[in-house]
Amino acid sequence: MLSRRNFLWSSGASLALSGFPVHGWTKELPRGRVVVIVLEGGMDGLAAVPPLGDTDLHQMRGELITSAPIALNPFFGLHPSLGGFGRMLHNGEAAIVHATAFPYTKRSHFEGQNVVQSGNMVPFASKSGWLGRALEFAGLPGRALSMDMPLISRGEADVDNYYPASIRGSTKPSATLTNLLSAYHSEQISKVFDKIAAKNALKEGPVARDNVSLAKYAGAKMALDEGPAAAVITLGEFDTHADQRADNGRHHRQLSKVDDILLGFKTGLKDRWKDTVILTLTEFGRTVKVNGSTGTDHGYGSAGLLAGGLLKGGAVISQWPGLRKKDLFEERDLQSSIDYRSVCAACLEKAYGLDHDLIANNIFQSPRLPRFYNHLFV
Amino acid sequence: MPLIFLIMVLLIVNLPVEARDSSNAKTETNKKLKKSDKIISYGVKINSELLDSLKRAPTFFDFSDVEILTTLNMKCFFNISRQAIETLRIEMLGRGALQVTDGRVNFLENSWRTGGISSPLFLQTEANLVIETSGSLVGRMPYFHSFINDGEVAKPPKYVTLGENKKKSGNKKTAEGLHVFFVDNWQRGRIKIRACKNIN
Repeated sequence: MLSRRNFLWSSGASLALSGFPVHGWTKELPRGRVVVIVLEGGMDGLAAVPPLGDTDLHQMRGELITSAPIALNPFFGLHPSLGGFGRMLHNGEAAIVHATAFPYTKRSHFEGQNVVQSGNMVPFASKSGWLGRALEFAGLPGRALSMDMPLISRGEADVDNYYPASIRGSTKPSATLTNLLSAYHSEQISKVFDKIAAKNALKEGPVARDNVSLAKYAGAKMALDEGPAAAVITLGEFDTHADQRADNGRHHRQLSKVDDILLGFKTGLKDRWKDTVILTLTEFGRTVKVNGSTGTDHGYGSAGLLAGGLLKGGAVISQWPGLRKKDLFEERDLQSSIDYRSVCAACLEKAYGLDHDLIANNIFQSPRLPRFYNHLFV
Repeated sequence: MPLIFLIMVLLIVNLPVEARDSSNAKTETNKKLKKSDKIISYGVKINSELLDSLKRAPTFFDFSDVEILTTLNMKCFFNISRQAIETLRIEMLGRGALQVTDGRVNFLENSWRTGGISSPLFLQTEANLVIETSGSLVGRMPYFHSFINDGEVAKPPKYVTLGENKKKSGNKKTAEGLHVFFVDNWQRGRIKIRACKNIN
């Protein structure tokens, strides 16, 4: 029998919403919304955003260059599976940061995902995530909506999370029953029944689990004034060691899902799109050269895809390091010349109104973290 | 002298070399306000022909040629049904309430009878419809037309275009009436809007 957890994984994406306002909190709530799309496996930035103007590109990875790139400008192209995102770029509501990464170079999935979600450069040293900590500083701790709570969304305080049932017709316990059960149990156990009653009062209908439906659902929730201020959606299968292909391969099918997710959020958020910034997050990029299995291996620098009405977008932002062997990290990977933590920090600063120094010191524990704000929002 | 020169060369050669993994050091001193002049913004401009072919949201509709009845503000009830082209049999699919504000349609509380993943959210978040000056509904919306039983695989909605036909009944200057639209070769879709009340 297919368990709910297995169904969720097999459906290809998972969603966590957090940053619901706490009732009675008198502090003015931030209007901004942050969405993080976690791309597990190592997204190939060179495939998604090929530097067509780099004369070494064809020599280094000719067989992985798409046959029909969307020309963004004389130097960069965009894979055609990101067409909707390309339209957002043209309209100034998206941006790309290229040749970027968290300064983590050991190329391990488990460590890498932990580092990019915790925001701590020492793997497994933190029990909370950078987004969760940011929400706490923004006055939005506490409740979250997810089945499994991703590290990135966890704050320092304990979080109460729940997940709406997807099985149509699954019975919600009646309020009378839960109240009775609550009354005839000890105080500690009665709190459990109180929580069940509170959650059922939300009257969630069935929620589809495909990428686009999750994104639309999340967007619609985030559009509410008392809705969640943050969403994390996770998409896997970017670890293409073999048969990556230039077009119609697994990597590009996943990029197409990213595109659908972005469009889904825009649809769900409606007017709230203007208060939103969405960014992708991956543990590392991929090797520049193709391996013996016509795939790529774990690398370093990649590209970050950003979208949302908060951006002053319409550009590819990069300090392009080049693709000659001597320009590569350890002579194999795209170099990272922009610390992606700065990109994340800028998004938090814009959406939640947090001070850069606070973010650098307390969220990323990196007091000298450079400010990237002006490149994205000015 | 040559010995000193040799010692200096040896010292320089043996200095540790840091991996160049960030330009951060160069931006640190002016981190608050100044953009690094080494980070470049490569502006994006996609040619119009290619732009037209890029993916859009499924309910995107170009209203530039549509004369919207912008003076229309009302709250109505609606039901959605399908009619088999061969047998003319009509089956109810969904119902609810909607509000027209300055000619633009927003769906309020609603429900579908089709099961599966159909939920009020689809019409509320995705429908992109207006009332034009002829009183017809124009735009695109999600449409659930298959009845899904418990345990069956749920299907996503179809996205249908309205406005290709003028409305079948009802006055021009109101949303009320029967609006029929093409779905596929065996069915037509129908939205009946009724019991409208003007709102300020």
